[in-house]
Amino acid sequence: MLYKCKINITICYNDITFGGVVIDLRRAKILVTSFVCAIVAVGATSGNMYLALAGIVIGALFMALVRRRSAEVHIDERVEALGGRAARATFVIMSVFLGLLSLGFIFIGRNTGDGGLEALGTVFCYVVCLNCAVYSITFKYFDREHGGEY
Amino acid sequence: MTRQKARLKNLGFCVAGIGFLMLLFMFFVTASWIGYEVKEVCEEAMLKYEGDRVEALTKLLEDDAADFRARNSAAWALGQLGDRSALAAVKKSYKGYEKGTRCDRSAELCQYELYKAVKLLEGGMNISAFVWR
Repeated sequence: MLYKCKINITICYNDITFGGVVIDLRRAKILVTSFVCAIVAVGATSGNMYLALAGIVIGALFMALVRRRSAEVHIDERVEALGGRAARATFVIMSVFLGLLSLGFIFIGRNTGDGGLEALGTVFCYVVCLNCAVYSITFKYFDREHGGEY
Repeated sequence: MTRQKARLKNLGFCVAGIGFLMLLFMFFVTASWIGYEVKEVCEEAMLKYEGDRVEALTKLLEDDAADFRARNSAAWALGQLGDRSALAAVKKSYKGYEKGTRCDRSAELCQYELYKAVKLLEGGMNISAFVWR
């Protein structure tokens, strides 16, 4: 059975408006980088670590907001498909690995009477269950997002 | 508009579902950890005192020479185990608890701990016990 999947390709807007002034995104990046460099330099020379950190955080925050506002989203179908497959493979590998690890820990813990190891195994078991449940929910969500009915 | 509403609803279900699962996960992990701690306290008590785990914990609780931290842990573990045969011993140590009073677990028998243990031993609900008992 085949299921159709919508793939949205968003057009890239390279300009952002900032206080009514249109700025090229590349220039905005340069501006923010210079700002962060200047703040970090001032912070480093004056021995104020917090100032340097604040500069970096503000710069990162600004860039994140600018990216969202400028809607600069280049969706490459190949990258999307590869990302999806890599994510699925990671999920399967980690689930199996943690599942086996948890079984091993519980088994060894019970045999040696090490309660800590057994508790760790139990927690890993819950992690695997949570992983599977979250996968199911997100799968359902994306399925509905892309028009699936089941 | 309806499409937008459907998408929002879908997102809401997804976020609520994942949030609920996270809470459930935290509950189960915490409950497992409580079980592990109870087991640890029981094993420590059984190394020093004779009898099964409840008897060993009761003896530890009543031992004036023992460390207060260990005795408080014994009271807590007895409450968690919920075995009514320990009720008399716990009640003997319980002098009364006033809400808001703080206790130093290393310097005295914590009355709040004993109060909780008495409540659990008298049949109070222990929501985490079914996970590890």
